[in-house]
Amino acid sequence: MTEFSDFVSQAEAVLRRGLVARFGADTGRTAAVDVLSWAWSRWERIGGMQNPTGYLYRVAVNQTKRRLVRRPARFPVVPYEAEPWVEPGLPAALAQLSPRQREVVVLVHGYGMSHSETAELLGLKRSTIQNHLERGLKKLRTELGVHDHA
Amino acid sequence: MRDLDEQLRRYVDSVAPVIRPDELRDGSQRIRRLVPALAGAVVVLVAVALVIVPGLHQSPTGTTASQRFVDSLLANATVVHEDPIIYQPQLGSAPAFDTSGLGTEVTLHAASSTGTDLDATMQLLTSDRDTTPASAPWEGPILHIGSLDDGTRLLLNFVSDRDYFWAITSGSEFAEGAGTLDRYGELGSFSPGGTYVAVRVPLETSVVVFQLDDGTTLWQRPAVGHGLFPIMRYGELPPGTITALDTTGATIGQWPFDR
Repeated sequence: MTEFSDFVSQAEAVLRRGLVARFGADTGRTAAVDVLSWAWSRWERIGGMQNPTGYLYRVAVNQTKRRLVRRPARFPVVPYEAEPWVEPGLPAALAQLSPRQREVVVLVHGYGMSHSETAELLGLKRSTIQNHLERGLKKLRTELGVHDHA
Repeated sequence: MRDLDEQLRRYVDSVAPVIRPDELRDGSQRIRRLVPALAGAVVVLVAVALVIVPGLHQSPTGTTASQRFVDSLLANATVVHEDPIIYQPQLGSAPAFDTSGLGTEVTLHAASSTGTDLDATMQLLTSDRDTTPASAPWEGPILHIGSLDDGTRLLLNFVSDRDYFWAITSGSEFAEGAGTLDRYGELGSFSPGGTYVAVRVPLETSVVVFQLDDGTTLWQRPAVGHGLFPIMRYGELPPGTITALDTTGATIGQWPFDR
């Protein structure tokens, strides 16, 4: 069984980034902290699972949804001085995507996860990932006024 | 404009920085203190949310009675299915009185164990999601209340902190009912000539007795105050009563059943 600390070093980024994309910055990060803390105390059972990251992701999503009914995800604006790379309109554009579209776009495009890895994490089919990705990217580019030059 | 992929990376990591080990340690220590007083992973998870993030317990309109109701249903439940997560609550306390005079017992069986026995049920339910009354069914907490001897299952899905719907599955079919903590509901029929009735009684109920004016008298040990009765009868059901008893046989409450 993988040591918990090794697991965290592998899974923390995926859980945090995916949950932030799903629920917004503060809520998503808190959900990641909560579910990892919970996993720590149950690692003997969870560590033996085939896909503990996916399992914990779904636990976090279910628990957070149960407590945050219909609260919109919040994506704060980052001051230009702190992160000049980020387009000022990006937070608002992300907020326009559906939670699923945001998860997929951020994980696949932001962090280079493959469609298979993303499908496994989210418990969806690869074809579904592709659909969310295409629609999400299209919407995001439209919101940002970006056009493909390919 | 900078590369979109790079922007996404930088943005998410700037608004939600890497989780530090001490954050998990703090959370875990709080969990350990709670464990002796609580049982089951579900309870731990709920407790973590309550202790670490008090704000999460608040719905946009504040904590509601029904949200506490959901928490109480999950309090001693176990996880019996992982994708989606389905909780199996425990049956109410066993009656410590003679039940032989209560009529016919309808046994409610718990889901056997973590595994695949609920896969087919969930596949059936999610494949028909467009027909369900809620906008996003089967994504909130799901409780498997139990199954009858004929394999019919009763499940609850909390689509928000106020509303939930009941669903029963039998073979390749399912029926549903929706409401805000309704007392009972007729959830479909079976062949030849029968109707399933789901009931809700107080959590502390040991035995629920379902009595119709035609002389039908059934009883059951509910799970977290929810039960399911198959009524063999052609046509409309007559009126009757739903009675909740505690472990000593004393009446907790009684409600009219009238379709």
